[in-house]
Amino acid sequence: MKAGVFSVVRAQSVDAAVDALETHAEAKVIAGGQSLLPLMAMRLAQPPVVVDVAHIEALRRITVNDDGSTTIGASVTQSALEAWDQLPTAQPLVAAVVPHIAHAAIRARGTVGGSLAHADPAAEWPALALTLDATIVAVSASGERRIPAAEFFDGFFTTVLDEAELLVAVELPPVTPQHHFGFFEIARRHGDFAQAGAMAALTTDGSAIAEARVVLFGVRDRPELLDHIAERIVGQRDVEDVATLVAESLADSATYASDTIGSAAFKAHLARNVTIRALTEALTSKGSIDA
Amino acid sequence: MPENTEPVARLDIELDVNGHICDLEVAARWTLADVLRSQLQLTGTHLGCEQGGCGACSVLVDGQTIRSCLTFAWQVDGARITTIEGISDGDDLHELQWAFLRHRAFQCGFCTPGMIMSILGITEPMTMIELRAFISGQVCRCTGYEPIIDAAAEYLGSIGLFHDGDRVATT
Repeated sequence: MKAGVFSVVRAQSVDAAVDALETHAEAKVIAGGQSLLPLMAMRLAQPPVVVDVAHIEALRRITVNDDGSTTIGASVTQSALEAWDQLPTAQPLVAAVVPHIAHAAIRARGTVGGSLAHADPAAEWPALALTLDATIVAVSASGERRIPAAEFFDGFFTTVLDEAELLVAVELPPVTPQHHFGFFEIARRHGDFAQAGAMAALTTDGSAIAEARVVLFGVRDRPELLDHIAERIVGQRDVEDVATLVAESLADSATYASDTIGSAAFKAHLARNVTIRALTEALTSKGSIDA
Repeated sequence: MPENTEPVARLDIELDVNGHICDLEVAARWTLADVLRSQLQLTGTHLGCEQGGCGACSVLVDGQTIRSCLTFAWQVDGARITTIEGISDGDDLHELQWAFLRHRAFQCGFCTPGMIMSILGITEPMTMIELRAFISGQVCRCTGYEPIIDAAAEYLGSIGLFHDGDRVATT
């Protein structure tokens, strides 16, 4: 399986990349190519022009800003992020999740921006962005747009990015000592796309959950913020109580579609279990909710 | 990496392959695997799935394991590439290759170059659980993986990158 004939523009600046996207109607951006190459090899995507953004220095930086937020450039590879020595303190949920993205060889080339722009519903980065209430920064000829993660993912492999718009960075809000995180995904092999996964970001008031962001991914066409569960678990502190509330809330299998991953009932079963396990980890990872 | 604003379908690139500088004129669509196997006749790098899932095509680029089927050759212009051919000199095999022989860690040999090049990309110490998760990225149809794991653990142990840490299952 080989890609068809195409031409490449090797951009060295964001302006050059945006110009190329404006000029060439069906151009696609390539950073690591770990999602785009398989599509091109299978001829599911046949862009006549490909714009390389992997070598734009400005997109390869990771910065902790003065307010404690973290900005990750779109062309930062998963492995560079994994190796960043400040990751466990600046963004502990990201540190826990990145080693589960694909396999080491894929992480060596695949980028954060690429994963977000590709918007595979089973991928970890879209779920991470939603869980952490991230802001995606994109640039086009019309200027810069800052898009909340909750508004960015528009369906199966679809985002709100325009044709000639380049995702340049993702900004993650600062993490405080009151944050408790949890993550659980299930896949056939370690590193395969998740059949189902969940992430939880809880803030506590010292004795119970004050706020929650709970995201389920892999079972629908985009990562899903479980608002109804988040509301119900405020004020809770006990793993058993939270598990019961989740099981009640995710009991309806009629909302899932049967497909090659499994039946609607199987997906509902996975959805319940991964959500409970992610919340359990969030409630117990620091020893107790009072930590 | 040179810059261009006009799209080009063919590019001149330079690759350091196993210590030899290669000046190549490549089509944009040729993967690193294609160039290694066809242009450079280094057929030790194998193509199993061409989708990034099997790992048979694994090579080192600047010391890091990548999937050569998921990388266009121009993307690694200027890089140092190490293939299976580059880790031994005649009968003077790499220590990991000796470990594979001792443990009978290959049968048909199709996955073997990829297995070896991916193990050689390991730079951080691993536990047995982590090693097994790591090998999940490489598919073998013959051995059942156990002798490969044993060979990898022995080799990594000999270079201080294997420790029998916590054995708690992660999934």
